[in-house]
Parts: sequence; structure tokens; C-alpha cells
Amino acid sequence: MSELQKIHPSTYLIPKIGSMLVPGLLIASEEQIHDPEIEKPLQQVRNVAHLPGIVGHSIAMPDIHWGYGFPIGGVAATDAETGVISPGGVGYDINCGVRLAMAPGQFKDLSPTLQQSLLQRIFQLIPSGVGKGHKERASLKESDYKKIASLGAKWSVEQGYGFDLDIKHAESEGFLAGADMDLVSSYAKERGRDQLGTIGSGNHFVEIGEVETIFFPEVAAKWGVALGQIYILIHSGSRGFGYQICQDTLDTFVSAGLGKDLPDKQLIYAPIKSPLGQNYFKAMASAANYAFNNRQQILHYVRQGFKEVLKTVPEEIRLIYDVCHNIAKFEEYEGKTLCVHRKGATRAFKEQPVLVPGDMGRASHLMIGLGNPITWCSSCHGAGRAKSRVKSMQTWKGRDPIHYMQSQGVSVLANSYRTIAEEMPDAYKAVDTVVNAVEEAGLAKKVVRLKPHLVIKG
Amino acid sequence: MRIFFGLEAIAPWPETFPTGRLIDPTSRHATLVFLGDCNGFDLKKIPLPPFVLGFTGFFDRLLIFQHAIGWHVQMPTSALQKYQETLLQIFQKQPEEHELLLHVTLARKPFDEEGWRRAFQKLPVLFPALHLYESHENLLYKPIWTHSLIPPFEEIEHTADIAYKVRGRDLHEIYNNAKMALAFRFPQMLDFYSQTEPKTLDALISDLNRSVSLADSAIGCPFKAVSFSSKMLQNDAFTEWEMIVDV
Repeated sequence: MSELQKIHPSTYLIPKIGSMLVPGLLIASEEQIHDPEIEKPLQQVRNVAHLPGIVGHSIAMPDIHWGYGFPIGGVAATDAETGVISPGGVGYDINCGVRLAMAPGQFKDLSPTLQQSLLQRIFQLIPSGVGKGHKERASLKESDYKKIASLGAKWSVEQGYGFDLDIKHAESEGFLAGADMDLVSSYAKERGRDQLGTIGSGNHFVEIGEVETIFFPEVAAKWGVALGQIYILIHSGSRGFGYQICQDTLDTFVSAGLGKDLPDKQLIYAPIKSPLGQNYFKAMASAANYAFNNRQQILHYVRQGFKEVLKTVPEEIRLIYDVCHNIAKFEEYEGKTLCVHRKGATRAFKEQPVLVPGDMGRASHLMIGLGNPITWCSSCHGAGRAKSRVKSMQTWKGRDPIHYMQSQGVSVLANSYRTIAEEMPDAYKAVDTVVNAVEEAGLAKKVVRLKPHLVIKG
Repeated sequence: MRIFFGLEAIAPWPETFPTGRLIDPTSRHATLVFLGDCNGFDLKKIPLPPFVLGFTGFFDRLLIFQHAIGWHVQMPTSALQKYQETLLQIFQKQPEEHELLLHVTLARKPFDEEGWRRAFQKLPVLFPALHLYESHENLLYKPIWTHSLIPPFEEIEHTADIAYKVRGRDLHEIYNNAKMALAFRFPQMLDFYSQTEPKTLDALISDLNRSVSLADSAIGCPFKAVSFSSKMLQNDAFTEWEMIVDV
């Protein structure tokens, strides 16, 4: 790692070499930069630096790991007039993101029986796992899709899922302008038809726990977050709908002959101003709005679970914030419009809540953004995997992961043993290390640390 | 000793089967040539097969024999047939008595025929090695000679998703082996594969993704997309492709 130049605490420059158009920028701890596993994703950071119209740096967050085209934990901004847009810079799960809500009361006041009842009921209410959709509801119609495109999460509120105030506490108010469902294939619509309000599979989850530590009391008080208070964290995205849109775009770009000479075909791109680039953005925005609706509806079902089991008034479960961590957005910096790709990275505008899920055993974090322009006001999105799914399964073969988690004070439910074994805490990096690097680099500041107790895995 | 040539069979077997004298999973195989009672057999006479890669296929129907139940294997058999002919010639067996009906016997009589009809499942199967087996009591078959084949696919380390090395002599074989790799993890994929013949790696990936889309729409699918990320690497005997799958 001798070519990395430390320019600031936890901030390293990757020199511009060869045909890179800009240098790279790595946000990482001292320990992380010496990890040999970092070299493969760093090569992807160098690849991203070749994107036409890229501005500033090709950026890597401390939770960086290998992805398709862009690394996960990668950020890159391109000039909106002359630059390109890349589906690899958004990811397959368009607008995968996280939302944090606070429920009234202290977690420690919930008896073990009530905790289990709450967990079970929410598990029943929210389909999770492979292909699980809401079969008891009507499937989305074409007219519904059009409204999702034009209204974003507001559509779900109008359907009775949640409250107007929720919209005010979502990134870009739960809406990305420019969506056009006419540019979305029937395959995508078919996949998404029954999947709104569902968690999905893989590392998606709903978790309930308590505020364990307060680092920044003034902000915690301002946001209405108290020590020991019950929190709800939701991680999900655009489900099969978004995946299909990404896949359709990649197929279209490949058929158009784009990306022939790229070191990684998944870095394929189109000029933003071209019809292909414009069509991708509009389809991506459609998926983004679908995902905002998805998380809005999941929160509704969580509120329902709290109401049935704990008699909590639904309005008293307050949304703190909803963030995207797989998206491309047009943002203004010093009078210039840029297309900011955040792939496994979160927007961190000044004073904006930044949500960083860790793993189901240790912790997640709520931070406050500092609006640092060097990363285009971006921060990390999570802990990042440390261990492959194959290794995780091998580690837990013949052992009882559910029993182990219970011994750690965490009750887990999922539709398959495999999901739990693949998602055990030791499969992930320590989120504390990641957020400490982010804080040292001046991207966001820690507000509270959250401890999970009840987890539903996808 | 009673001996025969067979391919070791590995599959994501169901946990239970209907009644019958079941063959232990470690003994399941597809017979190539039955030699019968052969004391003093000279192992040096066995010709090495010309193929280096193992085989994949899938079970497509139930076979009910007089004394046994088996699942028929659907897969290209021309290479195996040629090798079988070589073995028949060397060991002086009549070809017409050894028509290759590739199947894996699962149980012997007495068995519940109707139960087996209901229990049939379309599953992928992998043949990773050729053995000369010896028959033992209690339906146990143990190798006395083994020729291991290079795996046609194997799962490899990948931090965020799942990945396989998929191998084949040509694109067609790579495509089939990729399909079976996915089917080992999710057998229901077998109902959604197309029979097209992609001419390029990009077309192959697009085809797999179309199958994933269909499966996800119909029943839900643990795979989300097959990545365009990696290239194929050629060596003397076969081509290898790293298939990375978002989950």
C-alpha cells in the first residue's frame, strides 16, 4: 500500500497514474489500509477513475469491498453535461437503503414474552425471504406503477401506509424526480407486482433494539432519541423490480456495443445526455421510487405489529430518517450540476441523519452528516462483509446459530437456516471501526450507538 | 467379486424417499459397464477415459425396473458412449446387452411403486469421478479403482455474493454446467431454463438472467442476477469462466 498518501486523518490519496482521469480517495483506518483484501476493491476505485467526465476523486468508503464495476462503498461524481452515468455505480438493488424509526418507551421495559410476541407478529406481517410477496393483497396495476413514479413514497401514504410526516423525514422526501414507468420492462413490473412491503432476502432485515450509547447528546435530544429507547431499523430496496431494471439496462448497453474495452464490463456507461443515459436514469428513478414505497410500507406493518402487541399508537412511532445507499442523483456543487453515484454509500449533507447498519449481533449507528464536499457529501453505508457466504456456512455447520444469538441477547427469525448462518455477526467487519474512520475523516459524527435485540432476516 | 464401471452420482437428494431397499447416498452411481464376477481382475487393463471434466445433467423421469427403481439422467452422452464401447471391446462384452440408459438406481425391491411415482423430483446431478465398483452386501458399492475428473463447476470464495468456477470444452458445455451449478443451490431453476444456444458469453449471461427473472416472477428466486464481470480463460483441455451471482 506504499502508493497511498495520507492527506488527513483516515483519508488517503490514491495517486493518478496511467490513464486515470482523477486520483482516488480512500477513507479508511490505519488497520484497514494494511489488509491485503483491500487491493481488489482499490483496483476497482482506479478503474472508476477512468469514467469520462469524472470530477474530483474516485472515492472509497471504509466499508469498501469488491462489487460489480464500482466497488461497494464507492462514490463518483460526473459532469451532468459532459459526463457519463453507469448502472454499476448504482448497483442492482436500486435505492437499497435504510430507515430508522423510534418507538415510545424503553426496550428494557418489554418483558421477554412481549419481545417474542412482537417479533413473531412482525415476522407474520412482513413477508421475508426468497420471492415472498404479499399474496393477500391485490397486485400492483399499471396505474399504480405510474403513480409510484410520479409521487414516490407519498403514494403509499395516500394508500394508508403511514403518515405525511414520514415523507418529511425521508431523503429527498421519498421521491426522485424524472421517473418514467414507460421505460420499465414488463419483466420488471411482473417481478415487482407483489413485492411492495416485503423485506426480500440476503442481508435485508427488520431489527428492533435499544439506544445503547449516546455520543452527541445535543443532537440526540434534538432528534428525540433517548438512552434505552426502542428503535426500529429497516434495510430493504427495490426488490426484483430494481434488479430487473439494472439487468435490462446492462443488456441494452451491451447490445449497443458499449463497454467493449472496459477492464470490467459492469463498469459500462452511457453519456448522461444520450438517449440511453437518459432512459437509464428515468428507469432507475422509477426503481428508486418503488424502493421508497417499499420501506414506507414495511414501516407501516411494523407499526401494526407494535399496535397489536404493545398497544402502541402508530403515530407515536416516529421516522427519524430514510436514506438511499445505491443511487445516482443530480446535485449542485459550486454552481455545477454533477451526477453523484453512490454505490453502497450514503448521502451525508450537513446536519442530515446518516444511518449505518452493522450486523445483527453487535451494533448499528446513527450519525450526523457534516456536508464534506471532498466526498460529495457522502459517507459509508454499513459494515461490509468480512467473510464469504461459503466460509460463513462452513463456520456454522453443525452448530446452532439461533441458539448462539440468543446467548448474545438477540432473537433472530428467518425463513431459512442458511440465511441466518450466512448473516452471522462474524461475517461482517466491525461497524465501530468503519464509523470511527468516517468521523476522523470529517464526513459525519457519531450521535448514538444502537444495540439490536429482535431481528427478522430476509 | 462382482464388479462394474460406474460414475459416482452427487445430487441435492431429498431428505426422505418412499419405502424400498434404499441405496446409500455414498453408493449411488450410474452404471456404464457391468462386468459381473471377475476374480483376479487386472486393473492395469483399464483404459483411461479421454474426457477430463466431470459431467452434469438432471433427472428427468422415473424408471421402474423389475427389481429396482431409478431416476433417468438427461445429459449429452456421446463421450460416455464412446468410452463405454472401448470398455466393452477390451473386456469382451456384447454391446447389445449394454445399451447405455444413463440412470441412478435409488432402491431395490420391495418398493412402493406408487409412492415413487409421486416422489419423483427434477434435480440436478453431478458425476465427479469414474470408479470400478465392487458390489457388497446391503446394497453397498465400494470403489476399487478411481479416476477423478475435474469438477465441471465448483463454488469458490466471494465476499459479498456467490461465485463459481464453471468449466467446459465449449460454450454449450459451459452454459449447461452453469445452469446445473445454479440448480444445485435452487433445483426449481430447472423449470425456467431455456433451450437456446447462446453464441457468446454475453448472450449466455443474458439467457441465465432471463431464467432468473422468470423464476423470480413465478416463485421467487434466491439469485438476483448473474454478473457480466468476468471473462473466460482458455487452457489446453477446457475453458473456465468465473460466474458471479448477486444474491
